[in-house]
Amino acid sequence: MTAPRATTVALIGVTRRYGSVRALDGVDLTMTTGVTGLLGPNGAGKTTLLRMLATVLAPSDGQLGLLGLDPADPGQRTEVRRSLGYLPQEMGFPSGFSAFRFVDYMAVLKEWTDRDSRHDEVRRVLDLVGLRDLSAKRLRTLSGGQRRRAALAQALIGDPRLLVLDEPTTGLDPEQRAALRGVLSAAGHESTVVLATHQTEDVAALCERVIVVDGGRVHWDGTVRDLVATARGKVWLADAPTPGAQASWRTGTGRHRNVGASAPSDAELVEPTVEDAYLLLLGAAALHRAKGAVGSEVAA
Amino acid sequence: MTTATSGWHADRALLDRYLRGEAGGALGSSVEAHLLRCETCRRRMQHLVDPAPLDLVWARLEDSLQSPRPRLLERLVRRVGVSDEDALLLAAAPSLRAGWLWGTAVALVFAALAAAEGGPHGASFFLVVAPLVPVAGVAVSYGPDIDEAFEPTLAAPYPSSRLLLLRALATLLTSIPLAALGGLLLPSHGWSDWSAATWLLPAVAGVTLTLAGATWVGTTRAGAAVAVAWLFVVAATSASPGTTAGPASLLAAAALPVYAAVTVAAAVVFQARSGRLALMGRNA
Repeated sequence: MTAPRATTVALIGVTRRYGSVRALDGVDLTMTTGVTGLLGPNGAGKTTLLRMLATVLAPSDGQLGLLGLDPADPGQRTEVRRSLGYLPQEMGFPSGFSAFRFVDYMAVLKEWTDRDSRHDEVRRVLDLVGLRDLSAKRLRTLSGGQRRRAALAQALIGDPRLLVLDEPTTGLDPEQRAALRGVLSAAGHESTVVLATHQTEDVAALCERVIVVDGGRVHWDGTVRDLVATARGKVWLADAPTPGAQASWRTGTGRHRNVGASAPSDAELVEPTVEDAYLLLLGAAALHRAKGAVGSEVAA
Repeated sequence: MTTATSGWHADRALLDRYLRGEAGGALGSSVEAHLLRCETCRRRMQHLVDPAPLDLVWARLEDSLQSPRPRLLERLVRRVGVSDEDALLLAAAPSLRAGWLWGTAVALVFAALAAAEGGPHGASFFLVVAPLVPVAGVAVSYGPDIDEAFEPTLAAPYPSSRLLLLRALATLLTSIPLAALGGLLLPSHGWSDWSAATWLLPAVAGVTLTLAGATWVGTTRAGAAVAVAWLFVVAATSASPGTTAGPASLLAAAALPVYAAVTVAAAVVFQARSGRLALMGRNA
């Protein structure tokens, strides 16, 4: 019997308003060590939630606890930041910096004052993201995926206990994504890793737990297996789109994959994926909003 | 290789002596030449060498290859005693990059040349424009609209207020000499030598006000507000029928205590509110 894991993230009734818009609306959540995936359409509140976990945004209402500390208190916030790694959704780099120099710069901000040990750590995290050989190159000469990996490297400095990643696999090719999954799953053994993504296959491959957010509220919170189970019996193949199906698309085999609340009695049922369950969960309205974000994956 | 080798290979005792530097000149050179062409002996020697010093040498080599030569400004600040870490933090500031500094210098030269053509009022024009140079520099030294990697910077434990102050100080130290050089281009129209530097006090007051304002609205907006306020005061002074000296009256001795008082008050406000910078992310 294993001991229960300590709570590292706790949100109680957390709301965040931007003017009259509620980006998060009374969210209650707790997290422990392990990898948690955040799914949701654009504008669902994922980034707002991650920015709060990264201590760069305060809740308008409610209570937020991180690593057993209160980030509203300046001293405790600094203490949280000492154990935090954060990769924002969009990120630039200081002009003229190489990957090594940028990660070195971030390591200085993370209080690595000894030059030799700092440089060892910079080399280690660049190695983790597969950028060691390119570390001397100026960032502006690297590809989008390579720059994304440099951004990720800074988040990994010092093996943070809380790792907050907003769409970490954007721009990465399949090989790089697979390598990154290895890094993040290893980090999840000792740390709390929270990642927002539109890549449902990353969630399926990597996350123990999935949280689906829409309209600033949590619509699902549980294991990936349980989420997939909600779509069992609701995904089927047919030679043509089935009227009444919530979503339907032509697959590479020429047949149509249908997702809907009720399959026809003679339907050829197939094993659902995280994506099927996600589409079913959010319903038709959310599916319409999310089309831009997940359309390319659906078509594939 | 005839006396201390087993066949055609160096034996353990000889390699040990070579590694300790005790093989002597001729024998040492022979072992070295042999090692260059003998893989077996090179492999044997690998097990006799402590890898730690080699790793250290390799790490230093990597460091020198991976760390590009620091830019001129970074080298200069290191020369005056700034630590490598602080120099790196300064190097990331947009207001300390060559493009900004060149732009500042060119703008000041044009202002000075325009002032030279404008007689006494032209000179005073330069002196009221000069304080805005460091204000603008501080406005673009830190913040979500300025720093390319602002959010991860904010999420790091390094104090935001210290980073802003460090960059503001460095901006002051680079823009003031530039503005002073511009001042040297001014013709003398009754100004005493020291009075060409009187813009320093409003400059420091403007910078401190920008820092204080940054705790409410960020550096860019605070800097813009200070600049607009200063230009409004200049315009009002020029248009005032009771003022014969025009904008120059803003730099008269009677005005200087006002700038000192503003500086002190703004510094107090910044000190009291600087903690708020730690939560001032994008749209925060």
